[in-house]
Amino acid sequence: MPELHWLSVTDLAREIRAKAVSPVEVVEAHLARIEALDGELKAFICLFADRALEAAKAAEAALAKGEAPGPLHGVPVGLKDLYDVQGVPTTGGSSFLDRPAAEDSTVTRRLREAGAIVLGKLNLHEFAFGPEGLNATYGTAWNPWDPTTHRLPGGSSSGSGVAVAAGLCPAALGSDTGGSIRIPAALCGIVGVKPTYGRVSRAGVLPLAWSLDHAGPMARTVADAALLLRVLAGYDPRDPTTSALPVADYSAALDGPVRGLRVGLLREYFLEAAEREIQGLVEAAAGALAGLGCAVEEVRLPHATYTAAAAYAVITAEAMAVHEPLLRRHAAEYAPDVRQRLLTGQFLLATHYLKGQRARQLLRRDVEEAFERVDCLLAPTVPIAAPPLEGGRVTVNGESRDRRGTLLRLTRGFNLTGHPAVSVPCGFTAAGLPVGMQLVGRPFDEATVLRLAHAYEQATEWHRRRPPVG
Amino acid sequence: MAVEPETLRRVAGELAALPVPEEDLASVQQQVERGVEAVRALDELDLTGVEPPLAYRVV
Repeated sequence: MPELHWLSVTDLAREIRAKAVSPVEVVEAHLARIEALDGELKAFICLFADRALEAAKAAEAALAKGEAPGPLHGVPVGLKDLYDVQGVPTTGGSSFLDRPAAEDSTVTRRLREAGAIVLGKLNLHEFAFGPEGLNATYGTAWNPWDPTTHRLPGGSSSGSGVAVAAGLCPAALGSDTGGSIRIPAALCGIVGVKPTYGRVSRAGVLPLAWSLDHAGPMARTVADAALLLRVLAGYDPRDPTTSALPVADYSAALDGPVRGLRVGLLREYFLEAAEREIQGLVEAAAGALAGLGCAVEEVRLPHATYTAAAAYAVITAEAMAVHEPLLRRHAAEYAPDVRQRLLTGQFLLATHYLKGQRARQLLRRDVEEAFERVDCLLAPTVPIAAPPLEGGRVTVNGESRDRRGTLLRLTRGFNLTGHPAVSVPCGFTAAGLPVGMQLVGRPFDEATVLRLAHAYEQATEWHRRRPPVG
Repeated sequence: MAVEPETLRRVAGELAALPVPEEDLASVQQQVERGVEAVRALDELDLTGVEPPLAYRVV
């Protein structure tokens, strides 16, 4: 058996149920890994070591008594520090939010009810407002794929990406307002799921932009992400945006056929914007999907070029509205990059915001029209591999580009449209950095996207590579 | 009566909820300018008949 910290959620849950390993051993193994590596990696903001060990002992006792285990019984998870955990401050990665949460977020509660054990809260770009994962208060998490150069983990769910990739926890929750689950998943070489808007409750999750925020899982395999999503998804009276549509058994759906699925490769605006090396990997992945029997054709989203403008108008206005009361009291304590982006929001007119919202409808129509021809869209997740921490610009195919805009370019459109999107590893650059591809599905059809991602993953070996840490 | 752009900018500044700290002025100004330019690009779109996806429902 591999070392416990490299076992998947699925394997851990099975071995724990079979009493082949104890939840206490599992939690201890992950705490030891965190102790050994997280001083450098900086994935965790706080650890619940004692509480996690108590929960593990209780999980072990429950099994000994013959109690029916939940699907995540005894499995440790991490939570991005936007998710409320009763009695613990939700810092949002800031230095000044310190009021303990009155109750668990809905998804924290659902994880616990499924038997999961929360190990701690994970690092993020302050208030989730940045795709780099920068954090001056807790230190920017270190991408584990390059132990010599401090490279960006991607954000905003930086700690979640690093912790899962480095074996500090087998799965974590992230949140995604413009790509914040998928970007760190791609840059850290793991799987990240942004479900359909309304599929997973955001109640008890610190908001950034109400109409764009999505909660979702990050894990090392598609099967693990599917298992977690089933636990997380579903209607929640505490979040009026959640849907009452039934939740599929995503795990059971993984093994269905993919032959005959129609995959739309997004070249214009998407693939063509990526580094050539990444273009090659995504085209190879499209070839692999064709090899599995999928029909791959190119599709385009005619309004994709307006994505950045629409996203800017919507996120900037909503984020400023969310943060205005806090900014009044704590402006000096915000990270300058976050404060500056927020402050721009008060100079937008209401008409700008509404123009962004209306443009968003055109993009959504584009995607809906594409889904009349295909079952799934395919694009790179991020145009580049993890860039170094230093510097605000990156070079893409010889041209200097704004780093932030480049990181967000390919993901934020699907926050505007609300469609489900999964980032799955699709290769490595010559420098050994992971690359992710994004599969996008019809609303509430996470099952098809996950099935296709799983089939691709099983046909490749990328998910078996481990970063050179520990 | 025509209103000078400077007057509009001043009024907009007064409407703004929070002052921009001195050290942030240059960055905020640059970002606002870039943002305005980006949002202006949306004027190219024909939005006739396109309603914003606002979630308001009576029940």
